[in-house]
Amino acid sequence: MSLSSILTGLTTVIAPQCLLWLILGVMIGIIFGAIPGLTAATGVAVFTPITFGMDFAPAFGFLLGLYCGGYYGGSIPAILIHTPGAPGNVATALDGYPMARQGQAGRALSYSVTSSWLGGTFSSFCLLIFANIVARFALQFGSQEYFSVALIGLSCIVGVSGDSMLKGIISGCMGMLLACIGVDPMDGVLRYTFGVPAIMKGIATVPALVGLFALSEAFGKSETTTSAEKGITGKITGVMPHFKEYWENKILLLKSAVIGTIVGAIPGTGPTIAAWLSYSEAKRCSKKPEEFGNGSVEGIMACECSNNAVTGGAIIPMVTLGIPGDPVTAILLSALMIQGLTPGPTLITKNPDLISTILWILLIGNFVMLLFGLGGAKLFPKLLSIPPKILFPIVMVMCVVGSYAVNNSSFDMWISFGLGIFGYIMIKFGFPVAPMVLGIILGPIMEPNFRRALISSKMDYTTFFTRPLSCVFIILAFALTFIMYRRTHSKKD
Amino acid sequence: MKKRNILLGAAYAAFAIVGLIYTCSWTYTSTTGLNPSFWPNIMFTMLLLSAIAIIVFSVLGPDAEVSEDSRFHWKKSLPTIIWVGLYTYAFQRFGFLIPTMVFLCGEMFLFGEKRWKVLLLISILLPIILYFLFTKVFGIYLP
Repeated sequence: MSLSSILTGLTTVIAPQCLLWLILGVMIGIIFGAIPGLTAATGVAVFTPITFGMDFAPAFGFLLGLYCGGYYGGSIPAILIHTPGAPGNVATALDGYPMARQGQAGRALSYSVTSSWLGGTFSSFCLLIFANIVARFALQFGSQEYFSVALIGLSCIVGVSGDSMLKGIISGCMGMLLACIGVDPMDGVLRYTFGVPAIMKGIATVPALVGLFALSEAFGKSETTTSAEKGITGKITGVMPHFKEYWENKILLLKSAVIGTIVGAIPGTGPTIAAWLSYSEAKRCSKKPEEFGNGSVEGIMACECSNNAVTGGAIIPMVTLGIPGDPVTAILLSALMIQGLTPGPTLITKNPDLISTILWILLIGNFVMLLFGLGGAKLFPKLLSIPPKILFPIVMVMCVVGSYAVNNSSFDMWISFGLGIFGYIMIKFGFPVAPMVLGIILGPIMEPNFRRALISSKMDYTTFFTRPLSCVFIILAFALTFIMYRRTHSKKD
Repeated sequence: MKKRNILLGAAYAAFAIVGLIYTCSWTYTSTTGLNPSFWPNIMFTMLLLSAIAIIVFSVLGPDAEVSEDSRFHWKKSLPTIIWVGLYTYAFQRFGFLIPTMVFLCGEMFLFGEKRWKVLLLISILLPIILYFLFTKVFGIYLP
């Protein structure tokens, strides 16, 4: 990437309009991440429709700001009230909360935000370096390779399925079937439309994601929450970071950032896996492993650094292959399409400034997050006291309005409502919704490429194995399934 | 938990069977060699096999207590779901502003907010602010 391209990206992002949206995005992201029950995915799903009328830079400034802020924000309740804002922050709660109980909540918050910033910044540079390489590499892909790469994404259903892989597979199949509704991509025949003209174009992705991620959560919250969470109420002090502490842990931070970026770049994974991997690695290499679980600084640094390093990594497959790295990038993929951009290897070649714009958004977004995290630490206990009885009704309004706003379609509101109820029931029965989202996103990539590959090879099913790249991806998909299955089961044991 | 899993496994299996029968009834034959029913049939078959596996594992495996989080509290959630459904209908029929005001007031009340000043203030001001933001700032038309 040329220097002029990088500078063009910078001038685009530092334009006042983009910068303001970016700051707003980070702020809302931190709020969404910090409030238990709301996540970065919910925030991005709820706010994606409002970017419809915006240009690319402010729209993505806002959404990526929300993404970074949301992933960090989850650590705030993990530290202050022992309730992780998102599954990726569970490991942070193990050491952050004990530290806060020892009267060092400020220090814990400081480690959390500074490590998040370091991880996020590292992965942004990785995005700059590797996105072009992957995109150039992906230009050689045929239908077989696209199908196999999507299969890697799908294989990661195991990683986001929680306790039951079978339930995850069912959820993924339901998502794939939902994606089949509408016009068949190869023959143009209508499938499962039952004469309803509104679904001839298929189920709109954003309303579906809003329903599955946000409305279902809100319905669930209506059962239990009547008051805000109570936690650490003392004065927050000692927030300013000390360079020396981070320098002493430079290897740990580098390792965690690398783990986060790699895990993020593997389609279908996410911050939970990254955080746990880094936490285990930090504990394994630590000189004081006994401190883990009792307020270890290394524990907080490792999981928060890799948690936010996922952001840059997850964007690599999203922009270069059109395959989401985690559930949030699945929604961001739709936002990219709203902007009229088609994700895939040609995206970067056709829009050379795009990666540098995203790079600067992530760099500045992470820096804004650091400022908010350090400057606003004293306000966080107040943030956690926003009553859910006011917040969730507002979220519901945003869900309904957002679903309408994508296509100005009332039908989309009903799709969102219906999937909200479906998601709520699924969650109650222990069915994860993330695989369903993966199915909705990956289905339209897998099906046409699978059929195209078979047609071009005259129905030779071995075509997926005789092409070296495709074969490697399929082996990788099975290896990942196996590794994640083993990990899930060893955790249960 | 066992009973719930068997019940849901059976429901998914039934859905997959109906889906397979319906999809197999399509008469369209593609010139490309692969019919439009090809992919959905794979998915329905996988769904059916997974649902059967859930039933089998649930029957053979040990029973576990249903956690508190997994229980349905219909008395609390159903009014919210119905209220959101009514709001969606009213939004479609009467537009954004008035239905949102009524919805917010009712929903906050359902969530447990009883202070009438807060109810009125938020349910009147917020829809106006949102309407302004969507139409003037985001450039999105709201009915």
